Amino acid sequence: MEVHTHDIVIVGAGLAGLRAAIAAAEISKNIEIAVISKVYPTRSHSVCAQGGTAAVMREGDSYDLHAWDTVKGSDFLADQDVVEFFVKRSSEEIIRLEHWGMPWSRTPDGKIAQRPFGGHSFPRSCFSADLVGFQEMHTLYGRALAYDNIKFYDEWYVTSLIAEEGRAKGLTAIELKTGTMNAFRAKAIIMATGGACRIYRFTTYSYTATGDGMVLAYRAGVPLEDMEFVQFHPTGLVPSGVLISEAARGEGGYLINRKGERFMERYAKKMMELAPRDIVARAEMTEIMEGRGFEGPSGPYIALDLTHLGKEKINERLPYIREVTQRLLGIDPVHEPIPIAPAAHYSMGGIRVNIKTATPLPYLFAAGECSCLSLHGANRLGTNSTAECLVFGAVAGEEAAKLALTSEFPDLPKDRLVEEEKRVFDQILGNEGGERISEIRMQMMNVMNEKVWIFRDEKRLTEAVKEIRALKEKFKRAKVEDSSKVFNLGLINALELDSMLELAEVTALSALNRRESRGAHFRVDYPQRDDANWLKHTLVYYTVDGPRIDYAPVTITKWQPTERKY
Amino acid sequence: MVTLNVVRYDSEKKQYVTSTYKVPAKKGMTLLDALLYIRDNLDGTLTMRHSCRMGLCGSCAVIANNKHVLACYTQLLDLSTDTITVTPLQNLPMIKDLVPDLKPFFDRYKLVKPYLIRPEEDLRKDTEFLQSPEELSRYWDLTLCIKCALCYSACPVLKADKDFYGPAAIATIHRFAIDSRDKATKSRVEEITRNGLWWCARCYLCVEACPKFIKPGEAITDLKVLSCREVGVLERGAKHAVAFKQNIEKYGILNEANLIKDTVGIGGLLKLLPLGLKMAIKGKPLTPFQKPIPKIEEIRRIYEETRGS
Repeated sequence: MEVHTHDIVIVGAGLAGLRAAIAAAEISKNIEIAVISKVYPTRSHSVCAQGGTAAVMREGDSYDLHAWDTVKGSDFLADQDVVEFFVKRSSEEIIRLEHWGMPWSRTPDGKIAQRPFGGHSFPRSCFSADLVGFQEMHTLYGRALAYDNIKFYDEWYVTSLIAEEGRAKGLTAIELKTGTMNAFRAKAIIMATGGACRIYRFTTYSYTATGDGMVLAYRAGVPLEDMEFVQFHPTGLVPSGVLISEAARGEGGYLINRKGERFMERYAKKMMELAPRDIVARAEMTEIMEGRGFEGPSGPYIALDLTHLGKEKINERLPYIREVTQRLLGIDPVHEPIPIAPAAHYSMGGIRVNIKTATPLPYLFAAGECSCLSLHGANRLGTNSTAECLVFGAVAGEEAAKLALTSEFPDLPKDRLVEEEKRVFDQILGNEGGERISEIRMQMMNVMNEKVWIFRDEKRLTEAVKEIRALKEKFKRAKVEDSSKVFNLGLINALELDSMLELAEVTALSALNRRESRGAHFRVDYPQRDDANWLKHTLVYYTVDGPRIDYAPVTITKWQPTERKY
Repeated sequence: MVTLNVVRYDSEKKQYVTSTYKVPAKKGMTLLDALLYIRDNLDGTLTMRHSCRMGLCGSCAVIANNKHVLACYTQLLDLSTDTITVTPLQNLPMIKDLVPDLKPFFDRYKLVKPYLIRPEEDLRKDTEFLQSPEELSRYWDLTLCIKCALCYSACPVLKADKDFYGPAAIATIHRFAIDSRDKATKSRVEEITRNGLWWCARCYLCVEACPKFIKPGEAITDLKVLSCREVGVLERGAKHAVAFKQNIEKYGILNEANLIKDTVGIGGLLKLLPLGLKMAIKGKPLTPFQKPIPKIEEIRRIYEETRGS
């Protein structure tokens, strides 16, 4: 098996991965960085982010205010030392991106413009029309090409993380073009593989964002933190789930039920449509469950009405939203409301890391959505995720570089490499069972959509855990229909499903375990927030006998938990 | 029911094979939905790239009934036919099925320096470079390129010469050349002028193929104008463009003999004498002697009015 040796190996080439690569490359020309991505970098799901990137930049705003908005938005589960560090670093990332060519939208006097966004008490969302993730990605990718010490491994799929003697040592990965298994050896490894929401049927996610990195770390003994906290974005286009940015509401859009009411008045009188996402998603779900949703051929929906904004404003601030609703539904938001419903959108949880993005496994870091610092606690504010990827992507790159400059290369255990080849090519690709990957995947998505959704209860969560475990057994008898060596998407889909089933089990189990409601996690049977017993992070560890649950305290610096009302 | 004839590259036999599938079509179904339906229900070996299904990532570029499209952005029923032939992109080596090797396409980007170029001390400033909304609007459309390679596939120049940078990469050069914050406009323009800017045949097939309506062909034409201004009229393509313009201003009708002389010089014109003789025999003689058309003043007035714009 060919072994590729690099000082730093980064898995994932989205916002966090690319930012980490550049940060490491800037520390020293002598550091060699490999970026492994299963898709070409500009295909990463990060390009789908639309609304904006939050930063304190202008008179009238303050670090404390941004931090308070974030902590309150997190329903007090965020670690406040992380939040305080984060808000101070975001604006320098905005400027740095701009210097690299980012086409930020501007004020009339040429400065970077900012707009209001849900849960923020100051308009601090820097934006680029409604394509912030897309523009940030292409800016970072373009900039990354300027460094001779960044090497891209495009369309390589990482199958395992090699951890031995208590530390991360390397990875195994399939080169899709040839179908061969390769090994990577590194002084530091950064996971930047994104979130887990493809376990749901109705999601804003791209097909390729399957959360593989979380499972790579999990199976190597790293705990996954706060996995029960899944953000449901209020406005996913029906029926595809495609994201319609919160910016549509930021620019003045209304949410209307079947009776023509702006129903948010009953749920968040002050912030209305710009209340935090968990509150709006629950409001929409309640309206639908109580019969006030519209009925459509693909199920019930709520109307997002932009018709009062006018063609000019929509073309200037929301051009992509207009384009995508026309292309996918034949609807022009200038004239007609858009059918939307809450969609699985973001993983607040992920690989546990400290404030320096280091996981409990030495030499392994994680940044971006796949990690949990915890910056977002039980609920994330819009525009804080792209900011997180930039701030902590940079931190991960810097920390990995500093570590690499003072470390030696590890030796890879040959028997692990042989084992992994057997697991992937014999056990999975060579499986002669009768079950179908696409069927198991659909069944998993249905279980999650029906039993681990916005309103949760013990009965259905218990059933969900049981059903997912049954699906994991079924997977052991699944056949990969494609037997070719070259570009075997069927094999990749099988490996992705293997990851997703693991994540589905951890998510359902974490949700079953937390007997309170907080942020995005709502238990119908425990509808109150319970700080006395539950002001703590959930940790799930992989064991041979099944997941083991533990807890970690929340770091509180300035803000004691209070009632969360908007 | 819609019939999909998918032309797939067999990586072992190194040839194309067509697979035919019948897919139940519903309103709202995209071409990508149809292909995924085939993968999940009819043939799990059918391989194509796909990711965002919202027209932003550029993965699912294919050719459907001879049209260059993004599969996720194409409504099945909008193709207005019961039979759809789907083929992979052109101008690229093939890997398998509908998956071409995009390495030649992405490798171009390293050559064109797709990042803002400023002196080091500027990059250390802690405030933004100012840019007005009007300055931003000049290059904004060009930033929307999703790197899908549809224009690269449609470009006939690439069929003839694999060293051509291709429409997307050249349009990217223009994007930075006219970004008011960039300080390397001259060197960017010089570099591409020497490396194939004028090989672009102005066929605008790339404009037709672009799913984001970025008009790369127009950006290239604008870049050619910029090149004449910044670098001068040195390349043959530049001379041809200027000669064409002056020719019409002088005669009101294209005089090919003088056009050729002004593009490649007397030497070049003499080299074409055998061709000129053949044309004369067939009844289409080339002569440098040309009378301007009647009302030539009207044409010259158009030139006056548009000069400098």
